[in-house]
Amino acid sequence: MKISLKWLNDFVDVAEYFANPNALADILTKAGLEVEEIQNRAQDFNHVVVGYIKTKDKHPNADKLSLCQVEIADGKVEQIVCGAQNHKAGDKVIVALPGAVLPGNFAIKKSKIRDIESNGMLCSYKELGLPESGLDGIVILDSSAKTGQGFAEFGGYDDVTFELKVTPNRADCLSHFGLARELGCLLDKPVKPAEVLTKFSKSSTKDKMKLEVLDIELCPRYCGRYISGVKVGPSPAWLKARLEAIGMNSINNVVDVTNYVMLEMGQPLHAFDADSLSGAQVKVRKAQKNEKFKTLKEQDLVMTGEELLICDAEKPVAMAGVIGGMNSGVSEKTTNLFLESASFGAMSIRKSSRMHGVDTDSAYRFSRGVDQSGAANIMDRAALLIQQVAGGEAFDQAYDIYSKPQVKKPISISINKVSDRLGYPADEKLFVSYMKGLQIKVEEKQNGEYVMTPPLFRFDIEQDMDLVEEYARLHGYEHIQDTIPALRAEPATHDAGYLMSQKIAQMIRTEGFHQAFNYAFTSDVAEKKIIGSDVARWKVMGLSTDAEGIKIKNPLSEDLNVMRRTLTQGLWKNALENIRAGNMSGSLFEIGSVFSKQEATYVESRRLGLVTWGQSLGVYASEAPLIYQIKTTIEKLFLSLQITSFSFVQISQNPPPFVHQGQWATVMVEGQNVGYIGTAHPGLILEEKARVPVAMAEIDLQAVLKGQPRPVKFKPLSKFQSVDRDFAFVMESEKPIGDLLKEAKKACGNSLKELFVFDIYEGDKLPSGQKSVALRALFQGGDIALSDTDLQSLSQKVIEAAKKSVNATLR
Amino acid sequence: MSQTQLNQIKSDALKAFTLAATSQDLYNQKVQFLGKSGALTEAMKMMASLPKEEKPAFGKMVNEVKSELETAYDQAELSLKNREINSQMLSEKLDLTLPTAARDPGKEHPIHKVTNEIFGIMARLGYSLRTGPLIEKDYYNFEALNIPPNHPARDMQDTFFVDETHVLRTHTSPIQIHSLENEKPPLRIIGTGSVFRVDSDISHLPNFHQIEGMCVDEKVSMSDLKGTITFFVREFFGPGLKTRFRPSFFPFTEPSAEVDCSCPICKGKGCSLCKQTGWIEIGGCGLINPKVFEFAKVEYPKWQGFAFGFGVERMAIIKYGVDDIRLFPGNDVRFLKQF
Repeated sequence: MKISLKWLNDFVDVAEYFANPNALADILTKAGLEVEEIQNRAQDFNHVVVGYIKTKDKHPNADKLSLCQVEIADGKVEQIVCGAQNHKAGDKVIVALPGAVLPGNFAIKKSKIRDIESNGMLCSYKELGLPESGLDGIVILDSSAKTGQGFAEFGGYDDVTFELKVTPNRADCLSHFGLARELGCLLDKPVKPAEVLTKFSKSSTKDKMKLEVLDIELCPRYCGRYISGVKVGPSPAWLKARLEAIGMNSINNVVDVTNYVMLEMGQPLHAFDADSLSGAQVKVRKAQKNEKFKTLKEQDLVMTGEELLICDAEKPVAMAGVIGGMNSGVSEKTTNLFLESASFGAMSIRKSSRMHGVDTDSAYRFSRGVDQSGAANIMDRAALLIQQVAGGEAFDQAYDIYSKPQVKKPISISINKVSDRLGYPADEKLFVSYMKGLQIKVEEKQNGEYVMTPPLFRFDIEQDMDLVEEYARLHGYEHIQDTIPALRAEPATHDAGYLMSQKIAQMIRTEGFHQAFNYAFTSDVAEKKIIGSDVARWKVMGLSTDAEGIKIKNPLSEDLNVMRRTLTQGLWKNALENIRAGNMSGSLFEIGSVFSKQEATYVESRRLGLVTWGQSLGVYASEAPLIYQIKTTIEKLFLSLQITSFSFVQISQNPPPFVHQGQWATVMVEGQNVGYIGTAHPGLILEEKARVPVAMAEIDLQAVLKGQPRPVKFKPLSKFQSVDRDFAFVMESEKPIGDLLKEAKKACGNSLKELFVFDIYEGDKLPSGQKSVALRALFQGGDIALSDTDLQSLSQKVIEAAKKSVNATLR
Repeated sequence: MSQTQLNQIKSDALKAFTLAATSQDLYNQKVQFLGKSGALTEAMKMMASLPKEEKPAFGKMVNEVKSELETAYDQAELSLKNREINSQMLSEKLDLTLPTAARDPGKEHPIHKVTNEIFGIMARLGYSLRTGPLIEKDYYNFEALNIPPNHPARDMQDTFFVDETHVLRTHTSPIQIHSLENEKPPLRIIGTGSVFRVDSDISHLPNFHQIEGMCVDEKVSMSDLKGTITFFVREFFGPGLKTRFRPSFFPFTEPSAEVDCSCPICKGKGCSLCKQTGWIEIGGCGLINPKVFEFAKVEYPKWQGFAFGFGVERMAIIKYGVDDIRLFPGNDVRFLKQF
C-alpha cells in the first residue's frame, strides 16, 4: 500500500521526516510495518524552479536555437540556450539549473552550446518525467506562478511516499488515519481526528429511500445517507494530487471522494446515483443462483448464490463490498446520491471476490477486516468532502442498521508471562504505557496481573500472546537475547526413509553420478510419451503406475499440469538439455517421489532414477556400452545395501516405448521385480537429435529398502588357499551368459567363490551364431582344503551346468 | 691339489662372477665352477686320492671355498637382478601427465548439500529429521496452522489445488502438525522437502524447498528461538555473522519474526546481493501460536514451542553466490559439478 507523508501529516505530526524519510521507514519496519520502497519526489525536482523569460533572442551561431535571459530568483538572471520554439519573452517556464538530475539520470551542468554559455535547461513535461498532457515543447506556466519557487512545491510534488507491506493481521493500518494512529503510539504523539459533517438539511434520508438488510450475518452494519443536488465534475487540484501521489486515477469529484475517504480512513464506501435505484429502495440480500450482474467495469457476472448483493426494487446494483454496478454508478448526469458506508463479512467478501476474479481495493480491505464501529462517522467524513467538492445538500436521519455492535473480549495477562515468553525481563511500566498507547484498555488486578481490552480496530489482538508480541514489537526485537534451550529429553531417531535416501545418494555419487532435482509435476503429454498407454507393463517391471497422472486444478502451464508418475521422463529431459548445452557426456541421478491415487488417498512412492549419456573421452576410457555402467552402479548399490540375491532379467517382448528393444532388462531383487535398466530407443535419440547414446534406470526404493538397514553378520575367513580353473565354452550367441553363471553357482554351492567372464569371442574361428566364452572359477574350501578329487568334481559341475543351462560345450 | 690351487679356483671364480654381465652369463660361470663337472667339483673328486689323514682338512677347505663362492654368487645374482629391474623400469616409464579417463566425482545437488549441512548442525542440538507428504490435506497445510478457509493469510501463499480437500503443500509447516499429532513432547524436529507456490519468475520457482525446525518443551522463549537461529546461521555461513529479528506475521506463530542475517558477501557493508542494506532476509520464525497446539491437541501452556522455516534455494544462493534460481531445477552438469 502506498502512503503519502503529507497526508499522514494531516493526522499526526511527521513534518520532521520530510527531510529524513529513511528514519521514519526504519521506525515502521522495526514495528513490523515493512517499508519496501521510499519515493521522494521533492528530491527528484531539486534545483528545478519556476523561471521568467526576460528576453528571447536568436542564437548568433545557430538558426534553430534561441538564447534566453531567464530570471530564476529575485533579480538573479541566467543565460540559457533553448532548442524549442513555443516560448516567448514574458513567459513563466520550468527551469532545471545546474545540479538538477532529471529522470533517466540526466544531470544538468553548465555548458557551452555552439560557443555560447548556457546555464540550465527549459523543461518539457516529458523531460521532467511527468505524464501531463500530450503537449510537446517546453511547459508554459500560468503567469501567476512565482518566479524562483521550487517546482516541487509549485506543482504539489513536495511529497514523500512509502510503499508499505502490510501483513494480513494489520488491517487497521490499511489507511492513512490507521497508520497515523499507529505512529501516534510509536512516536508518542497525539493523533488528530478527521473532520466530519455535522450539519444536515432538514429533509430526511428515510423519507427519500427505503432500506432493508435481509442478511445481518453477512452485513452486520449498514449506514446510508441521501445527498441531493450535487454537481458531478472534475476534482479540484488538491484531491487529484493526493490520489495521484499514491497512484490512483482521478475519475470524478464524487467517486474520488469515496476513494479518498477509503484511503484515508480504511472504510470502503460506495455512492449510488439515487435516481437510478428503482423504487427508491435499497435491499441487502444474498444472490440467487444464476442471477446476472454487470459491474461498473463492464464485466458480466453470473452469481453462484453465495454472494451478497445490494439491490434496488428490481435488480442488483452492487456486489456488496466488492464492486458497484454499471447501472447505478455516479456519472456526469448524476445529481442525487445515496452514500453507502457498510460492514460486510470478511470471508464472504473474499470468497465472492476470488470466485469472480474481481480484485478491488474495497474487497481487499473488507476481506482483511474493517472496523464496524467507524462506519457512520466515516460516512459523514465523505459527506463533508462531497459537499466541499461537489456541493449538494446532505439529508438528515441517515440510516444506521447495526443490531449487534461489535465487542472485544478482555484478555488476562501478567508481566511475568511477558518476561517468560520473551526470555528476558519485561519492564512493567513500559508494558502498561505501550498498551495504553495502542488504545488498549488496561485494568490492573494485583501483583503484575492485568486485564486488557483491545480497541475494536485491532482484529489481531485476541489472546495473551498477542499482547506479548505488542510489547516485544514496541520495545524492539533487538532486546531479544540469544539463549539455547537445554535439551531435557533423549533425542528422537531420524526419519529412516530419509536417512536411507541419503545413504543411497552417497553411494551413487561415488559412481560418478551427480544428484539432480526435478519438479514433482510435469507435462502430461511429455510423460505419456515415455510411459505409453500400456501401464500394465510398468507394473510387471515392478514400477506400479496409474493410467493417468494426478491433475493439478490450477497449473501454471500445460508443461507442469500433472504430478509425475515416473522419474525417467525428467531425467531423460535433463540428459537432452545437457546434450543441447554441449555437455556431451554426463551422469545424473534423482531420488524423489512419484504419485498415484488409491481410491481417495494419494500415494507417494520413493524412486531412484539414473541416466547417463555419451561415452567419456580419454585414452583409457571404458568402451563398454553405457547400459553396463548403469548396471554396475545398481549392482554396487545392492551390494552396499547387503543385498546379494539380485538379477537382471532380459525378456524381449513388450518393452516400454522409450527403450532399445535389445538392451533393456527388468531388475529383480530377491524374487521381486523392482525396476528396469535400459538404453534409450535409437528412434527417440534420432527424433531428439541427441547424437550420443543415453542409458537409464528406475528403481522402486520401497521394495529395495525393505528391512533396511540389514544387519551385518560376520562369516569366518577361510584359512585355505583358493584355486582357479579356466574354462572355455562354445555356445549360441543368442543365449544369455547370465543363465550359465547362475546355474554354475547353484551347482557348485559355497565352494565356488567367484566366477568371472574374462573373454568373449565371436568370429572366423567359430561357426556363425556361436560364441566362445572364457570363464575363470575360483574355488575355495571353507572348513577343509579342497582335494584334487574335489576340484575335479567341481569343474565337472561347472561343465554340466553350462550344458544344462545354455547348452554350452567345452571348446 | 694344493691349497694354492684351491685359492686359485676361488679367485678365478670370484673374478668371473664379478665380470658376468647378465644373469645367464653368471649362471654359466656358476656351472663352470660349482657345476657337476665344475672346477671345485673336480677338486672334491680328487679328495679320494688323498691320504686318509689329510682328507678332513682338505674337505673342510673345499667346503669353505664352496660356501664362499655360493654366497658370492647369490650377491652377484641379486645385484644383476637389481640392475635388470632398473633398466626394465626405465623402459616401462609412463607419461603421468596424460589425462586419465576418470569420471567426475558425483556431486550433491546444492539443495541437498544445504539441507544436509543444516541437518548436521541441528542434530548437534538434538533435532531429528522428519518428512511429510507433498500432496497435503488442506487441514494440515492451512487449517491446523490457524489459517481458516477464506482467511486473507491464504493470499500470502498462492496455492496449487489437487482436489477439494488436497493441495500441494505450500510450506513445510504441516510437518510440525504431523509431529505434534504423532509424537509426544518434548520434541525437537527438523523437516524438509519440496513446497509449491503458483509463482514462477526470475526469483521464484513453482517447486522449491524449505527447511523447518520446531522445538516443543515446557518453557520456550523468543530468546531461545533467537539463540538457536543465531547458532545455526553462524555455523552455516561462518563466524562473524549477525542475525536480526524483525516483527512480522505468520498465522501459526505469535510473536512472529522475520530473520535477517548480515550479508555474508559484503559482511554488512552493502553490496548488490543485499541491495546495499547489509542485511539479507533468510526466513521466518516465531513462538508456536496456542491455537496451533489447540488444533493438534497438545496441552498448552504446559507445552510451549518455537518454529522456524527457511528457503533452501535462498540459503544456497547466499552461500554459493548462485545468480539465477532457475539453475537449481536445470540440472546442467556444468552447474552441478561445482558443488
